[in-house]
Formats: sequence, C-alpha cells, structure tokens
Amino acid sequence: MPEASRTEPKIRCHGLWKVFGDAAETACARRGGGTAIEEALAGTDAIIGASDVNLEIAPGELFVIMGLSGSGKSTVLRCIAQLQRPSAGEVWLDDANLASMPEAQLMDIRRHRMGMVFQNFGLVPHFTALQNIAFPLKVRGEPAEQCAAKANEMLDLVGLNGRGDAYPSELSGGQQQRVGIARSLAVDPEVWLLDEPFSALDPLIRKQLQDELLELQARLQKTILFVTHDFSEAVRLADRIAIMRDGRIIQQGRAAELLMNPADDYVSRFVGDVSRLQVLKLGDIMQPSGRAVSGAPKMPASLSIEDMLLTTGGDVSTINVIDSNGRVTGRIDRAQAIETVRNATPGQTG
Amino acid sequence: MSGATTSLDTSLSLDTARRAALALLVLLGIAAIIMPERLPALVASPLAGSDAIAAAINGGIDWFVAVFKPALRAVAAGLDQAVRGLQKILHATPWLFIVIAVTWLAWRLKGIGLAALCGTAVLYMALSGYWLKSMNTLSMVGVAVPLALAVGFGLGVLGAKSRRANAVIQPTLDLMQTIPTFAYLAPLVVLFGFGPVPGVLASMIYAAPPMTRNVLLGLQSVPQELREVSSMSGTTPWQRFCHIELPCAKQQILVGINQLVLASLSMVIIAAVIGGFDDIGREVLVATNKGSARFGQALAAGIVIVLLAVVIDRLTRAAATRREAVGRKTGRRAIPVLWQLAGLAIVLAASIALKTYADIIAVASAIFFRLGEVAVNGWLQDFIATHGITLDAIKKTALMYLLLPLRIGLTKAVLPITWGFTFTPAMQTVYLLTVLAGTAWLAWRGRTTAASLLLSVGLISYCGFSYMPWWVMFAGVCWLAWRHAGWRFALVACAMMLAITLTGHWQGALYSVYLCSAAILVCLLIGCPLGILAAKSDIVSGILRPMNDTLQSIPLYIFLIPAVALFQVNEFSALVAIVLYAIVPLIRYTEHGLRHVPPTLVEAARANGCSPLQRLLMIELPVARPAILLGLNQTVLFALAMLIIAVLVGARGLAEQVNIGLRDADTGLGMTAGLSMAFIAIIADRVLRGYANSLGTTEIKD
Ligand SMILES: Nc1ncnc2c1ncn2[C@@H]1O[C@H](COP(=O)(O)OP(=O)(O)OP(=O)(O)O)[C@@H](O)[C@H]1O
Ligand SMILES: [Mg+2]
Repeated sequence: MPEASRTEPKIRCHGLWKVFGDAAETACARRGGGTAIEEALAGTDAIIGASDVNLEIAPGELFVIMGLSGSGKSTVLRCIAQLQRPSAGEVWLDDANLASMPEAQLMDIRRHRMGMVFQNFGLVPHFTALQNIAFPLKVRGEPAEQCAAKANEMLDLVGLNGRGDAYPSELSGGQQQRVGIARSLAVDPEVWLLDEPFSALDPLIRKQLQDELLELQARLQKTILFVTHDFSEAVRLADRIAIMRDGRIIQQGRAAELLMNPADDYVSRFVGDVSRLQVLKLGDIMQPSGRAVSGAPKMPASLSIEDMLLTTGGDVSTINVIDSNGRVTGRIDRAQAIETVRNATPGQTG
Repeated sequence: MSGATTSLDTSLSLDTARRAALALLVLLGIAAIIMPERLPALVASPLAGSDAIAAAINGGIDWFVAVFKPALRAVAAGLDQAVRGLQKILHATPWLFIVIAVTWLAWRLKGIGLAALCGTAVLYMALSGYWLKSMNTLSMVGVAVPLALAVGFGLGVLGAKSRRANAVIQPTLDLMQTIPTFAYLAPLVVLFGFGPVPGVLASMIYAAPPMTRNVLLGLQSVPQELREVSSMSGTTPWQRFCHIELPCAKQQILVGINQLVLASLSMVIIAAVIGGFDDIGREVLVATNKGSARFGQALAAGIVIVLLAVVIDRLTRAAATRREAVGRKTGRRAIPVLWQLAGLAIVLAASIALKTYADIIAVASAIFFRLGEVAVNGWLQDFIATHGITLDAIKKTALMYLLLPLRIGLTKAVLPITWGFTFTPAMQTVYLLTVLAGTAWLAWRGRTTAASLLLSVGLISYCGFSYMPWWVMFAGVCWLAWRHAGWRFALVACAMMLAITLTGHWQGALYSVYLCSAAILVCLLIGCPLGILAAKSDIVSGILRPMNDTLQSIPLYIFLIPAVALFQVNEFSALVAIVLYAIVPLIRYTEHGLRHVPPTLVEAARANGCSPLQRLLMIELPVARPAILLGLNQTVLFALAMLIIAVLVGARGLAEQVNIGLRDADTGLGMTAGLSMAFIAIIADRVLRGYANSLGTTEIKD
C-alpha cells in the first residue's frame, strides 16, 4: 500500500498478545511478549485470544479484520480500544502507547478520539435514540443544548431524522445500528472501531448500511478498523484485509492480493466464496505500460473485471487502463485477463 | 434380608453410586431389623449434648452488653425516638386524608381498579377500629424500611463491585434466609431491651437480604456490552454507575423494594411476640392465643394485616411497573406537580376540618365491628358445636395415620385402640421384608432414587423419627449430601449435624424434621394435583394465582388464625398452619414446570398417540420434574420458616427451644436452636437443589 508506506500509521500494534486466565496472564506479562510466551503457555489451559499480532493502519484507511468465529478478531479490536488490557505488546495511537496508559488518560482519549460500534448495537434501553447519541457528549460535560444540537445533526447524518424520541425497543435492527453509528461518531473521533456491526442484520439492510458506511467514509475520512467474518463484506469495504486464525494474523493485504496469492489453504478457503471477476480490478491484472494502444477503449483501473467483460463486446481484444487522473497506466488483453482469473481460482477447473 | 444379599451379589457389575446405594441400604436394613428399642445404645447418641456452647454465647452477649452499654442505649434511644415520632405524626394525620391520599396514589400509579382496592382496604382499617394499632405497626415499618433499604442497597452494590466482598455476602445471605426469625429477636431483646426497637432492627435484618439479592442480581445482569459502550463513551466509573448500571438494574431493584417492604411488615408483625408496643400484630397474637373464643377479633385484626400487606404489595408493585403504564403511549396527561400538591393541601385542610365528624364515624363503626366480632365468635362456637365431631375426626385421622407413625413409628402407633389391631412381630417381619425386597428390586433395576425413597419412607414409618438411630440419620444425610451436593458439602453437613448434637438439640431437630416432613407430605399430596389442574385449566389457574399471590405476601401469623380457630392449640393446628403457607410454591412451580414443557415434545407425544394421561405421566411430569423439585425445595424452606411461628399454636422441638430462648431472654439457647434449624434448612436446600440441577436446569424468576 503506497499510502501506508509514505505516512506515519495512525494505529500500530506491535507484538500484541492477549491470553485469558489469571496465571497465564501474569506469565505472559513477565515474559514481555515474543515467541517465548508460547513455550511458557504450552501445556497450561490458557486460552489464547491474540498472539503476536502486528498491524499498521494508515490515517484514513479502512482496515478489515476477518476470520472464523473465535479466531480472535474481537479480542484484537478490544485490545486496541483497551476494553481489554493486552497481556503483552504495544498499541500505538499516533505517538501514544495505549497499552501502558493509565485509565484516566484513556478515558480522555475515548471521549475525544475514539468511537466504537457494537455487534448487538449496545444501545442503552432506557435512553431514547437522541439520548443514546448524546450520551458520550453528555459524559464529557458539554452543555445540554450543544449536546442536543450535535445529536440531532448525527441523527440526520444517519438518516433517522424524526425518530429521535423513539426508544431502542421501538426501532428496527437497522435503525438501531444507525443510532449506534451516530453515537460512535458524535464525538468526531479520529479512529472508528466497528465490531461486526452488520452481522445481526438481514442481507438487504446489511448491503444498504455498507453502502452508507462507504458514503460516510468518503466524506469523513476516519481511520477505520472493521471486524467481520464475511469475506464479501470485507471485499466491498476494505482497503486492506487481515485474516486471522487462532489468534494469529495469517495474512494481510488488499483483497486482490489475498485472492491471487493466498498464504495457505485456510486463506484460500476463506476467499473461495467470492467471485473473482468482481473482486479483481483492472489495475490488479494489467501489464504496466505508459503507452496507450491506439483504438482500444480506455477503462479506469478501479473497474472490476466483470464490469469490463460486460461492457465490452467480444470484438475488443485489448483495453487501455487509466488511473483516476485519466492517464494511461497499463493495458489488458481480454483473453489473457480471463486466463489470469482462472489461474487465481484455486481448486476449480483450471 | 435375602433380597438384599442377592442384590449384593450382582452389585459387582454396578457403578459406584449404585453400589454405595446398596451398601447404605443393607446398613439401614440391618439397623431396622435389629429393632432399635431392644438396643437403646444404638438409638441414643453417644455424644451427650451440653449447654456449654449456649452458656458461652450468653457470656459473650453479657460481656458485649456490659462493654457497649452506652452505645447500645444511644442506638436504642435514637430508634425509639424515630418510631415514636413517626407514630405521633401518623396518629395526628386525619384518617380521611390518608384514605384519600392512598386512593389517589393508587389511581395515579395504576388506575381505577387498584384505587378501588386500596381505598376500600384503608377505609376498612379506619372503620374497623384498629386504625391506631395499624398506624403503630406502620410507624415501625416506616423506620425499618429506610434502614433496610440503605443496608440492603449498600451491600448489594458492594457485592456487585467487589468479588471479594461478594464471596462473603453470598453465603451470609443464604444463612440469613434460613435462620428462623425468632432466633435473632432474642439477642436483639437482650441488647436493646423491650419495646419497638428490637422489632425494628429485626425487621431491618430480615428485610435487607432480599433487597441485597435483587440489587446484586440487577447489577450483575447489566449486559457486558453496555458496560463497554459506557467505557467507550468515556464515562468515569461513577457516571457509568449512575447513567447505565443503576437504570438498567432499576426494574430488579424495584422488585427488591417490593420484597423488602413486605418482609419488613411481616417481621414487624412477628416481633409482636416481644410485646411492649401496642401494634396490630400484638392484637392478633393475643386474640389468636385465645382460640375460638376470640376468633372474631383475631379475624378482624388479621384482615387489617392482610390488607396492609396487600396494599403495600400492590402499590410498590405498581410503582415498579409504572414506566410502561404512564409512558407516552397511554396518552394520559401528566398533571403538573404544583397542581397535585395544591390538591393534596386542600384535601388535608378539608380532612382536618372534618376530623371530628370523621372520628365520630370511625368510633361508631368500630362499635358495629365489635358487635360483629362477638357475633362471629358465637357463630364459630355454634359451628364447632355442630361440626365438632367432623373436625375431631379429621384431626384424629391425621394424628393416627400420619403424625403418630411418622413420630413414633408403626411399631408403637399401631395399637388396637387406634388402628384396631396389634402390629404383631410376624406382621412387622412381613412389613420389613416387603420394604427390603421392594428396595432391592428397584435398586437392582438401577432405579437408585426410587429405591432409596422407598427404603427411607418404609423405615421411617417403621421406627418413627423419634426412634431413628442417630447413626442411620447421619449416614443417610451424608449419603444424600454426597450424592447431590458433592463430598465437600457432605463433610459440611456432617459437621452441622455434629453441631446440632453437641448443643443438645438432636431430639429437637428430629422433632422439627418430623413435623416438617409430615407437612411436606401433605403439601405434595394436595399441591401437586392442584398445580397440575392449574396447568391444564386456565380457569383453575385464574382462581389459584391471585390466591397464591396473596398467601405469599401476607405475614406468617395470619395462617395461625384459622388453624387455631378450628382445631385449638395442638400439633395438628401447627401442621395445618404450615401446610397453608408452604403449599404455595409447590403449586406455583408445578404449574410453571408443566406449562413450560417444550411444545414440540407435547406435539411429538400427541403424534405418537399418547392419551392425555399417558402424556402427563410419561412426558410432561418427567420434563417438569426439575421445576417441581425446585418448588419442593421452596416448600421445605417455607415449612421450616413457618415451623417457628407454628410453635405458638402447638409445635414443639427446636422451634420451641428458640421460642423459649426468646421468652426467657436466653440468647444462647435461642441462637443454638435457631442455628440448628438453619442447618437443617441449609442441608435440605443444598440436597434438593443439587438433585434438581442434576435433572436439568430450569430458570424461574419470581
Ligand atoms: N473474557 C474471556 N475469557 C476467556 N476467554 C475469552 C474471553 N474472551 C474471548 N475469549 C476467547 O478468546 C478467543 C477469541 O475470542 P474472540 O471473541 O476474539 O473471537 P471472535 O473472532 O471475535 O469471534 P466471533 O466472530 O464469534 O465474535 C475465543 O477462543 C474465546 O473463547
Ligand atoms: Mg467477536
């Protein structure tokens, strides 16, 4: 990711460990991280939630963590939010290490710089939608009218105007999660954490909210850490994806990278369900070249192969790929594109 | 004997539990056959009880009183002032105002129905001539409730916040629930003297635990996600407690308050045995002890207590569920506070102006009530005169065929004058062999529970609780405890029984167990069928439910009134009183269990062509068994709680010792006997709950 290498990461996890069980926790803390922990824990009944996780998330990036149930996604997210203190390792937010930060200071960071959306919405049942949204503002001591104004603004943002006085029990699942999103954005956080926010919703609403999330992100440019177990959701949303198993990150990279070079069987089984034609973009398979092939149609690098195939007839054999500025950056041979996709599909007829 | 031996031969292939069952069975069989009365050494405990422990407790209390006298005096004086102050206020307030205020409150909280109920109830209190006594009771409750609230709430929060504190609070709550109420009245009297103060403090001690329990439950069941939401919103711990945890737990806490107020009233009424304060409980107690001669008074005053309890219960419950009722949806307009206050002030002024007339009316109607009471007394005496034979027959039957065999055994209870024949040695042998053979056969078929049940019932009715060899009792209880609550608890149970023996309460304990067993047997015989009926018919359920609700919320004393009126003061009245109170949970849980059998199972049974009876016996009852067992567990605890009150009408044993301890201010005696009762309750509770859990779990919330 060129962007990430140029700028300082917004969030950085370094050698992050989380083990459950009091004895294991102290053992882990004493060793101070590293692979020595595994030897120390071998044979004990410690449950490992996250083991040696290293992540870097650039400002404005939408980073997705995925994996099967119990693979430690939530654990990593909650360690970053410090809802669970890591057993070992560092969690940097800009130039502050959250892992060693006292509660009082963390409270301040949460009041101003972090927002979180929960899988089961986490709405306070005895608050109305507006009161829920205003809650983080209220606890940091903002005057009532300012809270109300901001909460109303947030309500508009998620398209719920007019429903502010409803209690959570009077809202549908989709509406509840919109309130959850509005609440997490009320403090204008820099970092936005979402733990399977759409998993409890039905597919249509889920898709709608995904679109809205992308729209919001285009406007707000938060640094997002998004947890899901659904690869197609990850593909729709993510700039980059990390795949977890048993507390470890098996592989991280852009969706196309995972598709074309899966690190192991686990990853390839994970990515097996999505349509390559949709995931792979022209930019992923083009041959770089600055010169345009004359007579060939020009198409943006962010177009999916499927769209390319659908919009071009069989008579077109070569396509010029252009970047967002309209400059030609490469070319694609239509037949060869299909061949590439077929090769990137493990286990299927090749 | 022979049956037992054959089963021993096959026992090699059986699993440990069944082998243990068989071993115990053989032991018990031998015990029974040796005929305890020929070898008295086997019956009487070798560990002679002594009152050393009781004496030590008395010494400790005396020392404590001597050292802390000024502090105790100050506390007592403060509380006394508070009670008497509140009493003055309540006496000075015109009854008309209280009637109107309560009615209005009920109307605001719930609606016209509750308003009518509460209005009528309070009106009855005013017109029946027991107004001042009711106000005396209320003034004690009024001081005890805030104290219990503070203590109960504080402990609940502490327990929810600190795991270490919780480790102390939980077992204490369990113990408090099982210690009979009289047991801590005695030390309180010693510490604080007679009068309202020990009653208020006992009421606080009795009422705080349900509050603590509910606060704990409420705070612990706040969803983890909401705590995290709160953290992520950047709350301080205090903000989190106020804005998230407390409101989330509110519903449960309100349930706790309801239970607290009722418990407080119940205890204040019980504390009337101390005397020294002219409250309504005292009135009922005195009248009840006079039997049928003062039945009218006991009834009229008893109704006041019931109404007090019902009004308090319904009002606090309505307050607890108010949010939905007065929510935006009902569309009822909110009346501005200022208007409400103004209205109340006007009513107050009017009632003060009309006080003289109102009081005249009250006095006049009280005279009518007194006349009515006399009439009721006459009527009851007529009733007893005409139906005395029937009542006697009921009493005799129960005594002869239930109580006596359980207490002294068939060997002594079956006599020509009672059963009409002699229980000859030949018959005894046949009886024992039948029981043993049946047990052996059941055990051999692998039905350990049924086998041990048959054996214990058979042997207990053979030799009776009073002549039960102590080591058989020890062995049996230990085995049950080990089986259903683990070996650790078996050790604890052993220690508890040892403590009972050492304090000299073994015989008393046997008597208490005997009377409770008899009551529980009757409860099972009546309660389970009623529960089944209620589960099958909505009409029966609709009739039973409000009755049960009321029975559960009224103070225990009330149950003595009908028992004594009909059967005078004796063991059978005690039994009746216990059954009246303890049967409620059994009915409730049976109905609940049967109504919550998974519908798929019922449908499957139907599809397989079960008749309704087969369905009930083979599917529904077995599935509902854990729930029924939990109900039985409650029934046992209720029976033990009532036993202590039933002493006043003829129960004996431990409860009597507790009562003597209270009467003679012998704290040591009262406390050791009280703790012994608590031990019995704890053992029964753990064993039954363990058994219910091993059958599967059911969640029942009250
Ligand atoms: N508080 C805890 N105590 C003990 N073990 C825990 C705790 N929280 C999580 N775990 C364990 O850590 C592992 C990772 O859990 P985690 O919740 O992070 O999984 P997940 O990937 O988020 O799964 P899901 O998709 O089901 O949410 C699991 O094995 C889980 O059992
Ligand atoms: Mg999770």
